[in-house]
Amino acid sequence: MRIKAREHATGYLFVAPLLVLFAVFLLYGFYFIVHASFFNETLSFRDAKYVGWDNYRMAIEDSRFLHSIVNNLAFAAAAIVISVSIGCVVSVVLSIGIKGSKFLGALFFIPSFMPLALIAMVFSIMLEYRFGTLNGLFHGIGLDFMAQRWLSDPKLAYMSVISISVFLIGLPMMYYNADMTTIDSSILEAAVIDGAGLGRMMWNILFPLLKNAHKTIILSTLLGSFREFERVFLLTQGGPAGTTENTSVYIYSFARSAGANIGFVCATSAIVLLIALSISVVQLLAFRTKAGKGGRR
Amino acid sequence: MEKFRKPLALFSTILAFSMLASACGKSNSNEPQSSALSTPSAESSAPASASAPASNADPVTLKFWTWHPSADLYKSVIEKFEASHPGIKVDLTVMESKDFQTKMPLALSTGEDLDVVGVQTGAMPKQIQADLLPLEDLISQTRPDWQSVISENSISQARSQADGLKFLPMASIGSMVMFYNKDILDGLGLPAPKTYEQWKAVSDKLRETKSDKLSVAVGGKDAWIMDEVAWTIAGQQSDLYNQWRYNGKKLDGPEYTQAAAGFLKVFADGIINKNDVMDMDYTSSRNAFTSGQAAFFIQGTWEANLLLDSFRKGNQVNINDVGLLPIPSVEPNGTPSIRSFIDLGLGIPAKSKHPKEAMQLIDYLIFGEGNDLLASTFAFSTNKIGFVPDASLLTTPTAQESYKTLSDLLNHPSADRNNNSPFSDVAGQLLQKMLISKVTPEETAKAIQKEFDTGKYPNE
Repeated sequence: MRIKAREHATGYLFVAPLLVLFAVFLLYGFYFIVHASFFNETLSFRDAKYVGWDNYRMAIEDSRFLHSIVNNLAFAAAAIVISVSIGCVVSVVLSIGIKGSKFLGALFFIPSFMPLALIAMVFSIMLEYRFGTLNGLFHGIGLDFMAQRWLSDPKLAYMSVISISVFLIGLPMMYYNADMTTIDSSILEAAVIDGAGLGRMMWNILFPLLKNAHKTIILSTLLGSFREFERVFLLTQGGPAGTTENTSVYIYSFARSAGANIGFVCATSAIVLLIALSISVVQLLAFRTKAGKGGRR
Repeated sequence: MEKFRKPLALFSTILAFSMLASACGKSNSNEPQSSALSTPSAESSAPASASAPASNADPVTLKFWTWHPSADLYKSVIEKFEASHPGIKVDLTVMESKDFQTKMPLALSTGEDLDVVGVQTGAMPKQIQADLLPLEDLISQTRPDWQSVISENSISQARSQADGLKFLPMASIGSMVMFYNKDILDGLGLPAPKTYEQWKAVSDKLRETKSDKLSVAVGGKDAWIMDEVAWTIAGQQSDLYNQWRYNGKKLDGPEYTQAAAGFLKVFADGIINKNDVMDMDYTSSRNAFTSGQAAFFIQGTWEANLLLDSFRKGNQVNINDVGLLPIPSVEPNGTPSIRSFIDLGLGIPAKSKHPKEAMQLIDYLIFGEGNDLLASTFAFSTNKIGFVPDASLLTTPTAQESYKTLSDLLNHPSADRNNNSPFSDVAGQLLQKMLISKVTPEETAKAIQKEFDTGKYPNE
């Protein structure tokens, strides 16, 4: 069915406010970042000195920056594994309608609606070695050996940052719940008649059928990892000694002091932007294939 | 219904645009303030002539942004200023230091309506000097004898920070010093440590007695604090900081390597327990000390109000007596000392509509009664010549002796605390790495110099 030109115009009129906002806040923002990345300048934006690709060279040569990109991907990978495994299993189990499933569902969802900064702050206090409540609990019940340096041991700090993802499975669960409503129940009924147990149904039927939710979760988590800041900054400040630093915390650490070279900050931001855009392209390609073939695959 | 669809669509779009325009439009209300002591009057939002005199008929509201001392400490001072200057109101905003370092320069460059701004020494003055008024003439008109009121050294340091006099310093501050909980030391039967061995004896005894108290509370999670501690140890041997900051001396030489080794030794000897402090930031380390959980607290002289009994009682600090000492020299041949420099500068934005009134506020806070009031809270050490705090404030012999120590340390620093903040964060991170890995002091010193050589950090 061909859409008339007037209807096109009406459609554009509807999206015009959003397009204006997009142009002002995003396109200009992109332009500003890219333009500033070729200068050595402070937050006062005075006496900017053109330095060509120097800021990019410094960023690429900085092992700390490269490490922060790896951390982004690692934290995203861990969040994906947690969402696709724990999130998926919990969603399926709760959808069976076990007793108290509504209460449990709400319990899993609540952290997803809470500000991440608040969660990170609470965990930061709980996980302190000397005065933290977790170690206090272990000491209290005589399990002294369990009291660890959760935030100051490099390996444990990494795990602590990742562990917060477990509390954020509410959103992936929503994706799974939505996708489960589209599954034809006759498939499951046939499986039950054929004698399939819950495990086999989960692994061989439900998990593959929830492919679209998996895709959405994987790509949104991956993209979201490049925006993530509060969890790492408020929990570890990127420490100890930069072990858990991600790109947002790295960039912020260069922007937060008087006299900092904002051109360098913009160059690192532009590189991160490019990586995120590349992932977005993958996302677009993945969904275009789906649209072309149509239907659930 | 169909015939109404297009008009409705058009109407909806216009409505959406209108709402957007309204939302983006200038509001008469003020921006959220971290602390607004006075509600700006309606008149203050109207443009005022630069030369408009302050009078009851035409009150002026000065917008004042700074980061220290706290809004609580400023409150009574500002109230007294307003009482003695009836035509002037002050709208104060006190921000966290790091927030201030980014928000204030940006606000100046974007023409935010500000009248008085705090100026941190270090990289900030050169960054914002084009947005500040030269003060020589203004201050000379307001207080002709100003140069005889504050120390000559503080004036020359202020002039060295920018091209001309762009700000006036309220105070000098130094770092790092060590506050001690006398109650805990008395309980252990040990004196306030003046030598490294005495310092170590405190942590040894706390361990031996299986005390639940921490030996030293310090923000090991904050990289800049680690950097400051290392520079304090370096200052026990020489003025390396000045040589690096002003003369281009390298940090991968024996002097800084020795400082890094000394820094590591304090942790290796168990005086500072890295398990306890590496996940503590400034706030939590301060809380550990003020709640009576730690024998020592390492921070800058801006925390000297802990010496005051009145401050402790008013701020739930559960310690009867607090003292102050320099960090004992790690090497036997060293001299305990601190780095100090002018700080808490006050300047007037070039776009201020009330420069004369702004200068009256600055005069009050730097040369006048306001400075005495704030200095009496011990939130800083004033540059005013001949200032002596009210003797009744220092209620114990420990506090009296500590005040003398503080003055002596500030007056005889090992080097300038003219910080390079962007680099401090990175150097501190490399020092943290040394503490949690097998990286040696030599390698750390080389890594810090190598990082500095990348050119990412200013050193003006």
